[in-house]
Amino acid sequence: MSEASRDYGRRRALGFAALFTGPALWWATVLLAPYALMFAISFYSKQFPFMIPDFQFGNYIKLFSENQYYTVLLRSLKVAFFVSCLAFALAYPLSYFLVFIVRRPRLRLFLYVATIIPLWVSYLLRAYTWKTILGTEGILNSFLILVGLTDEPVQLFLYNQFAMIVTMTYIYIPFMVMPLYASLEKIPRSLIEASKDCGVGNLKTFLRITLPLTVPGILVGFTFTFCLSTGDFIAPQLVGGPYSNMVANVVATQFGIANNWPLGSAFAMILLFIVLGIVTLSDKFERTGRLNVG
Amino acid sequence: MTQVHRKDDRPEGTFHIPLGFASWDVNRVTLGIAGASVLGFLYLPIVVLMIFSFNSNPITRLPLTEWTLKWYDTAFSNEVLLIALANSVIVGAGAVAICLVIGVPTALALDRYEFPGKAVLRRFVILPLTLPGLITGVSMLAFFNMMGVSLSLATVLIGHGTALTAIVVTNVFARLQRYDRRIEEASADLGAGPLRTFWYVTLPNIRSTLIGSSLIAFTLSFDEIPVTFFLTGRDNTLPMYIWSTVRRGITPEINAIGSIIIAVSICLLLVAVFIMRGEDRRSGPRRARQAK
Amino acid sequence: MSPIVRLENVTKRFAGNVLAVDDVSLDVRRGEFITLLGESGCGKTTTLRMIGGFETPTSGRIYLGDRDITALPPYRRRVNTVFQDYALFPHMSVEANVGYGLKIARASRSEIAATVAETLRMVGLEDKSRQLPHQLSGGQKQRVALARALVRKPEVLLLDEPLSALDAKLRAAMRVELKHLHEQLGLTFIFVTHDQTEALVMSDRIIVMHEGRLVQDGTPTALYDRPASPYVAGFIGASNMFPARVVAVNGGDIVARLRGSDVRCRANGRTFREGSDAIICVRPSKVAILEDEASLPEGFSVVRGVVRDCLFHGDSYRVEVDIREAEPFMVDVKLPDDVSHAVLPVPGSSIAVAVNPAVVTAFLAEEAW
Repeated sequence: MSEASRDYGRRRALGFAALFTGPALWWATVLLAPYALMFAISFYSKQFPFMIPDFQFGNYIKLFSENQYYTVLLRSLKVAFFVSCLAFALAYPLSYFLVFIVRRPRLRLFLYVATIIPLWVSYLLRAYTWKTILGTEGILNSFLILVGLTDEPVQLFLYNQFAMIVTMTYIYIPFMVMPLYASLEKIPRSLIEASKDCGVGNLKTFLRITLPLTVPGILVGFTFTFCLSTGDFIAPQLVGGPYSNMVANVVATQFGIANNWPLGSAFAMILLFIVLGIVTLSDKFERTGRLNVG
Repeated sequence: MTQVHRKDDRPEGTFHIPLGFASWDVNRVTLGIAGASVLGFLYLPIVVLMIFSFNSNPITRLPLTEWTLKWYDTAFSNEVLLIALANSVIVGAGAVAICLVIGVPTALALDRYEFPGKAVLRRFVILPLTLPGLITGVSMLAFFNMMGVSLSLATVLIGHGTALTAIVVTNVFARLQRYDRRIEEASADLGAGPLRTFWYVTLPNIRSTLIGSSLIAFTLSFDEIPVTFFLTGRDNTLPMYIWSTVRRGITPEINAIGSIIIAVSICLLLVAVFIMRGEDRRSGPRRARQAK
Repeated sequence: MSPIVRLENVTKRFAGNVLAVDDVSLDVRRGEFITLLGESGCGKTTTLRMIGGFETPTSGRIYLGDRDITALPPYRRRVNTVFQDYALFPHMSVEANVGYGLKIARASRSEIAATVAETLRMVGLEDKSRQLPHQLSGGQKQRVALARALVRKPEVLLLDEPLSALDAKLRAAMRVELKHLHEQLGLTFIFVTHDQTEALVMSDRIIVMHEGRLVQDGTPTALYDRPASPYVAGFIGASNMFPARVVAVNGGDIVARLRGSDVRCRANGRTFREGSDAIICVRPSKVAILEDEASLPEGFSVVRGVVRDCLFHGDSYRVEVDIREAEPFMVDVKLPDDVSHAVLPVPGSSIAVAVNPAVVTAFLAEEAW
């Protein structure tokens, strides 16, 4: 290696150091250290009211052996799954409608933006409105009474898993629409026309061509909605009622009133592994899927 | 999905609904109705919130009573709410500052340098966006606690800054990947060192992206609960105030402040998207860097 | 006079061990218009970028005058570049683009204004000074890029395929304009192109590069008349190139047999042996159809074949003669003033072509393509 390229290398290294030393320190302090600390705390033991630095798996064992904890874990996964399916059932027709039925590009863009705008708009307020809609004295009930469908307010709407699933579906639908829309838009129209030219019916064309081609989008959509709803603790607290504790609620409680940080950390780590696991898996599947499609 | 009925399949004289569609097709209409319903589902709650913010009945129920502005009046004379609003603005502005100061150099480093651990870093910085906010919240709580830092607006600000920097990193990185790097070479060629090149050439060309992603980061910070929930001391941000109020019950005052928040957020976001799209269109995609 | 730019054994290896430039040495004289010519990927742009300071050689040295600039960053070199696709600053007006180099050099406002106005006048854009780059046509952008690079009064101007984005007509006009600008300013121009016509028209000297190596260094006429290798012969201008067997060696002359026709040619310092393989090369414009065998000039050879096709080229016809090789033997026939009376060979008829030994270049077979 010549002197010149060494000089050049030194100059690049200096530039990099000047640029990135600060941010690197920042990332290490406020992101890496806290995550690492939480990981460490999940092995600590608890001697009320103190936590003792330790390395034992008691917290994790507790989560999988005690009924109240693993029920919550299973419930979280179940709710997240229902939310994802419901969001998919609603988002697919909408995306399909936007891509294949709306013909004017400007109108399509407008409707698409209109669909994903709620994504960025006050999460809390959107969850809260469902409380006002589904409540005993709420809009749905008063509407039903007004039109005479019922005399007594229906108690079934709010403070249960149904309310939670509806609210979370509503909150996370845009995350399903985005990838579905993107994958539908990528399908060449000629492919579908070709299929119809060959005399294949609409339904068959959809099942054989359109649906398989959108599998990557479906995967990404499910990943988004599933991960987000597993980690939600606001909506369950707001509309979920007594039997709607989710993993995230337990974490919040352990770090709050229950004041058992080691247990809370262990639960947070489980949540972290679930989310990262799903993200990695779907990433892998999406890639192989893409290869198969060509 | 329904069975196919194409226009040309039908015998002459079949009943035809004159809806003005170019080609009347059961599929199109079914899908149209489905699409419209889902859009309705998305906007119904927002519309409900806004309508009831102008309704005089203190209970959010039908039928609507009188039109009023009094809830806006109450909201804006509620001192606790106003302090929370001010806190939110401070936190949002501070978080945006952190996002820019940390995010821009990180994006530049990712775009321009090869270094060990680069792939890991790329995934790492977006973790706070991938993982549930609560995980970032509790881990930072544990960290501040260990360091003996007492919770305050400052810890909330750092928390938001950390969680949202990924927005700036990903947007600026994407912009840097798309823009023509040779204008920086041209600047160096004309005698400008790295700092002046950054100031005169790079910065003006990523400015809109910076503004756009700052607006998005601000909006998200303004709405943030999971991190704030764990990191705040006695001071409340606006979402925390709303959250503590709505857990107790429903007040039309929240409808009023909520309508304002939603309207302002939508405007900010539209502006952000519009600005960023414009910048990419103006200075087109850069050519693949060639090594001839 | 010492060279203004000197490259000594410059090699550039990119990540992944791609050898882009392989041991290139080159002297550029002051005031010269020199062109680096080659196909894409031949290392010409990388060589230029090393002179500009955008790449650092893996080994070797680069001098500007007496100064070793090998490791200097671009902003410390008195060299300016006109980039391919111009790389104008999209957020600055034409005026600001051109004045940028002066602003960086901390020139006074009035000085900047005066120099910018003068330079814009020189390239004929004085009325566009307030416009933004995206409002300009390709040719106008090109002039702005040129003005921007010239405003710093560089010792050497580097031009990286500056004409490649223009349409054919504009490109031809700009060639002439650049050439005049070079004469007028007396600067040293180092020009990179893949277009041989551009190189032949504009350059004082052409450096042909191939696979990272310098394959020939010479004036346009030298390159055209005496290509150093079959590669150069094939790359510059049209060539008839065929494998042949050496049947006689006679001092400075040899005779090569090409499908039954014996072609006499000069050895030009190469050592041929009887029975060895050679490649012979001759320009279609330098041979002629032989109307009457008796009139064959002394020492000329004859190549015989069958007319395959006759293609109209504007001021000439190209006759393709089938000599039972994969490629036809091409002969350019200049048309008489009255075209309607031209008697052209009929496809399918036999034909003889007269070949002057002085215009044939013979290569050793090892010099391959």
